[in-house]
Amino acid sequence: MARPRSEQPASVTYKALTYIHLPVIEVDKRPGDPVTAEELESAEQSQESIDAMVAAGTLGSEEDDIHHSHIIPDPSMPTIGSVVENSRRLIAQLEATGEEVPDELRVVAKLDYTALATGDEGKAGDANA
Amino acid sequence: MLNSDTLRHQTVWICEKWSDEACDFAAKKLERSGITHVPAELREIQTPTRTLYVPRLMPIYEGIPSSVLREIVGEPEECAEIQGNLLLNEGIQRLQDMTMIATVVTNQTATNPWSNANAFTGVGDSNTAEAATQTELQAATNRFYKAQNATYPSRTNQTVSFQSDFTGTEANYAWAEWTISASATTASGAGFTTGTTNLNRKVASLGTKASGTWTLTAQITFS
Repeated sequence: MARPRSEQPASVTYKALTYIHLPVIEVDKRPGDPVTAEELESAEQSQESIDAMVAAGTLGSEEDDIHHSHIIPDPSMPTIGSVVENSRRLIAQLEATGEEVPDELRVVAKLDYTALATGDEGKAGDANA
Repeated sequence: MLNSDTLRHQTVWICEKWSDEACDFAAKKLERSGITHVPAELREIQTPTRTLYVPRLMPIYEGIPSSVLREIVGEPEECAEIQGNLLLNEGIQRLQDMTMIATVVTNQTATNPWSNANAFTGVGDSNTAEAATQTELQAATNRFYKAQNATYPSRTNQTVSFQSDFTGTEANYAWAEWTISASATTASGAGFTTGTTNLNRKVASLGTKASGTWTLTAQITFS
C-alpha cells in the first residue's frame, strides 16, 4: 500500500556531472542537467545503483562541479610546457641583468615535461595458455 | 560562446541466440563426421621473430561458434535488436589519441587499438545507467569479455562492426549491459573479466543466457 504523501521522503533532484543515458525511459542528460528521483525510478535504477553513481561522481548535488573531462579548455590557456619554457626564459633574463632569481622559479624551470611513451595496454590472447 | 557542432554516431546491437539443443545437434553432426574441434576466437602466439594470430581450436563439447551453427543449424532461433549506447570518455579519448595527436604525453596512448586481436565484447548483469565517465561494465562479478570472431571488427562505409560468440558456459546470467573494449585482462576461461579501454556502454535487457551460443554484434556508424 502506498504511503501517504506526508510520510514519503522529500523528492531528491540530482545534478548530472557527466553525460548520462537513463535506460528504459531512454532519456539523455548532459553535464549540469537535473536528474529527478522520479526519472531514476522510471529508469528502474535501484537505490544501490543510485548510490554507486553518486559515489562514482556521475550524480551530484547543485553545488558540485561537473566532471573535469567535460570542461572545454581555452586554446590560449598555458600548458605545462609553455610555463616551463617561460620560466627558463625569465631566469635567463634575470641572470642577464644580475637580479635575484626566486627559488620557486628555478623549481618550475627544472620540471620535466618531456612527452612520455605511455603503455597502458592490457594483455589479450590465449586465456587458457 | 562556442558553437557546438554535432558528431553523430549510432549503434545497433544485434543479439543472436542459438539454444543448447541447437548446439547439441551441431556437435553430434560434427562428431559423426569425425570433427572434435572447431576454430574459435583468435589467440596471440609469439615466435622468436614475429607475432602470429591463430584461431583457438575449441573442443565441440565446450561450445559451437556461430559460424558453424549458421552452416549446420541455420539462422538463430531468436534475434534481438537494440539501438543506442553512450560513448565513454576513455573510448573517445583513445580514438582521438590514435588519430589526432602529434605527440603522446602523460595520460595519452596512441596504441592499443580496437583491432581483431585486441578488441573485446563485454557483457554484464548491472543495469546502472550509462555514464560517460565510467571505465568498465558496472557488474560487480558477473561480467565477461570475449575476443572478436574472425574478420571482426570490420568496416563498411562509415559503419564498423564488432562481433563475439559467447558459447556454452560463458556469460550465463542476465545480459543487462554490454560494451566494446580495447584489451582485456584477468583471464577467465576463454575470456577475461576486466576491460582496459571501453569505447561505449549500453544498458538494456537482452534476456538471461543459461546455455547455448549467443552472438553479440555491435554496428557503430559515425556521420
